[in-house]
Amino acid sequence: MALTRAVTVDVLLGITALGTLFTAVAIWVVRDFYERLHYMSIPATVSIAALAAAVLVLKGFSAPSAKTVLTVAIVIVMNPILTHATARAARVHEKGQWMPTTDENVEIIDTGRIVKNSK
Amino acid sequence: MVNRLVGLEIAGIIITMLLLTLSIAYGRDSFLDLSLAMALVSFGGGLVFARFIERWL
Repeated sequence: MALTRAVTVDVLLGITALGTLFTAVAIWVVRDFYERLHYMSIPATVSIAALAAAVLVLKGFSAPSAKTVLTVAIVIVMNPILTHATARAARVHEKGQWMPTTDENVEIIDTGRIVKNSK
Repeated sequence: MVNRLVGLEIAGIIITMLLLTLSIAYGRDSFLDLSLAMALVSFGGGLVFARFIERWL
């Protein structure tokens, strides 16, 4: 039982380390900024979730595990918000505005418009 | 400029994981608060920097 637990923890920590290493190499290799942003999600979801699972397996349901899960939940929930804010900042910095410019062939879908019934 | 911001955000995530791992590995459970604070502060800092780049640079 102890051996199984130790092997599980090692495998989960290996997933954490490999995910983080892959992200570091990918960000180093990839040159486009928006692609780099996508690679940021690997340590913020897969790696940190594997780390929380390793702590849960090691410590069981205890106060340190609860605090770890809280920290990991904060990172997982807030990472998409941060990614969007960063992409928005980069686009405004590059183009001067968030909305598509006239030279970009982008279809705009107005989801906030109220469509009246013609009858 | 924005590439540095991505580096800052990834550094925040990795340091959070590092603090979690170290506090569990050395059995200092009270130090888990540091990783919690790091997660919150890196999120706020990243947002502030993104807003700064968007508005003033």
